[in-house]
Amino acid sequence: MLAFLVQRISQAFLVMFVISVIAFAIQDGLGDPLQQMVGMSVSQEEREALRDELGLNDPVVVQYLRFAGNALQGDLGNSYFYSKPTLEVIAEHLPATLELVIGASLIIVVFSVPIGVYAAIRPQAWLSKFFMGVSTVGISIPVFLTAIMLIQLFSIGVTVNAFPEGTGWGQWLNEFFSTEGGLPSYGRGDNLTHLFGTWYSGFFSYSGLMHLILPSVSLASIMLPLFIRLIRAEMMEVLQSDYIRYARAKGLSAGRINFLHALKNTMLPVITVGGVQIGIMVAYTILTETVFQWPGVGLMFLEAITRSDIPLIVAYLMVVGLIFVITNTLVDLVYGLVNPTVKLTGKKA
Amino acid sequence: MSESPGNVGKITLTPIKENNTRVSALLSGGVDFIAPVPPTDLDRIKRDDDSSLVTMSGTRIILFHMNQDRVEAFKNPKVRQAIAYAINQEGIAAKIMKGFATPAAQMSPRGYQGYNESLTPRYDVAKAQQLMKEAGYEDGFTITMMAPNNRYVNDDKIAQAVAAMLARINIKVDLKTLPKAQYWPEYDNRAADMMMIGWHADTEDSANFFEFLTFCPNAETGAGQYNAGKYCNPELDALVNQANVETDRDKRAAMLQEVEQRLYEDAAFIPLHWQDLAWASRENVKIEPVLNVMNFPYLGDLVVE
Repeated sequence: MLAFLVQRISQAFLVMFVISVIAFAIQDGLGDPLQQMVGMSVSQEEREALRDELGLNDPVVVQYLRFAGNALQGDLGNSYFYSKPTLEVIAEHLPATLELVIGASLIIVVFSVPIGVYAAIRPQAWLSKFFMGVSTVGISIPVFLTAIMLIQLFSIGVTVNAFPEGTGWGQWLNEFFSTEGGLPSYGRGDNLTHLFGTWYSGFFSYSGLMHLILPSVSLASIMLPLFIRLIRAEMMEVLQSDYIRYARAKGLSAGRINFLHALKNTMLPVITVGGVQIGIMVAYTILTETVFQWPGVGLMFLEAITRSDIPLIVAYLMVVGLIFVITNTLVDLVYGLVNPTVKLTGKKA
Repeated sequence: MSESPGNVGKITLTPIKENNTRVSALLSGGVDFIAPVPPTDLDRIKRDDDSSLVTMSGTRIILFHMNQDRVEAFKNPKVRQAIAYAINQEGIAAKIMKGFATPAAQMSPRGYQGYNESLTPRYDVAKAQQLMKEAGYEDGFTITMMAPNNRYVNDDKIAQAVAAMLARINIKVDLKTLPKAQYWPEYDNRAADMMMIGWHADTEDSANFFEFLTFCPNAETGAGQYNAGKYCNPELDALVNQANVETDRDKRAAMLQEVEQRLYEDAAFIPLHWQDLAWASRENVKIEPVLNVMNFPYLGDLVVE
């Protein structure tokens, strides 16, 4: 176990090192931070002086060594725009994104498991086919389009007049397809509960929860179809295996077979793939947060790029790299717990 | 002094970056007043009974500079005039901006002292071709063009339209569009033969346009800092400087209008249009009386019914 953890920690350092080198290598292409910082009437000399002061005239290697030296002491530089340490800026924005990811993950877990299992047990039922069809559509639609459609349907409201108003059935259909709207479409809401440090939570107030609904559903819409199909495929394969047939021959009830034996073995690859996907969701938060003006790290990163705020860009990339490594490590640990026959460090059993 | 009719006690300012979300927030009742309204959503707001839309002709001029240092041909006024005749400003305003822009033939918008009534957009492809022939460039030449793609309304589409129009007078354009973070350093380096810029006079006065965009570039005084055409006419500079110390309004206006006239005749740059401004609010928030072309709403006078 110790060897495993040491291996993973050194992997984390390697990932962050590689990311920081790449980010530094491309920083010339990210735009000129001075353009964004100073006004139009600042003279060329003053700009040069500021450039010197910020250390932007030194060779790239020197700049990188300075950065690496500071990074090892925990200082990832100051954001040009916020004039605050980048880690502080990220810490202020991260809880919002984490809450969004938690909300989306809850929706995914609650919906994908029952639907996936049902589709596996009764693959021919029309409900299963319906869910499979919807999930194909869900994977195909880009997340920002889903977000915009959700806002139109549930925030503004849509009145359908396609069917003839005069008839009873026409009116009923019109009402069925129309929506009232009313859900909030931007921001996190007021009265967020302060948990600790910079974490202001929206889960404990009505306003916060209302604001969480549409963004979480949008974010979940990317991964939900994937998980449903994954659980269904894995479960169908497991249901074909020998020990399940033996259990049926032995006379165990269907419920016990499906939910105790089959499901546990289905969850193994789902956890591995799923864990990685949750990490990837961090990337999709950029799009979702932009549409909903959600003050998380995704929106912060997009704004940093527009402003050529290079320290913040580099710090964000490194933090995300770290999050990926941590997520993968946790997934492997959980896998090891669920399946005791697996040896994590790859040594002989 | 009459008392202000305003009855608003508290205003909450919420930044909403994404255009669609901002409009949705208004239509769903989440906010009461939004600005700016993207041109693509004007119809949506007009159709909504609970919202009202206000549009106004703006003062931000969108124009192209032609760099005389980089392209020998641009030094010849006939070539510049040919380009001016080849560009269909009214077409761009109607088709690309969907009517949300005012075609321009000069920098000063209506209402500024330098606005010259007699200058109107010119479009005559035959004349343009004739001018190119007279200048000796009947076969045309190739140039590079750069424009931002996330700074002005439809900036990249406008650049593509201009490139297509220049093709008709045999000027082949190699167009590159960039996000504004990367575009402005390139603009400072004068990295392309034709470059787009939009300008709103900070002083709300015509002289500001000339000082930054057409004065002979001078690194010490900062004159012509954004003059990517390297256009230099010391006479006009002197005229503007004279206007700046002239206290008689009519005389000053006449001088500035003469500058616009001379720049027009010389085709010093290619003006395209002034971007319109648009604001929208809930029906009961009466924004029209407090709005003005400088986009400084007098919120103290705002009345909410």
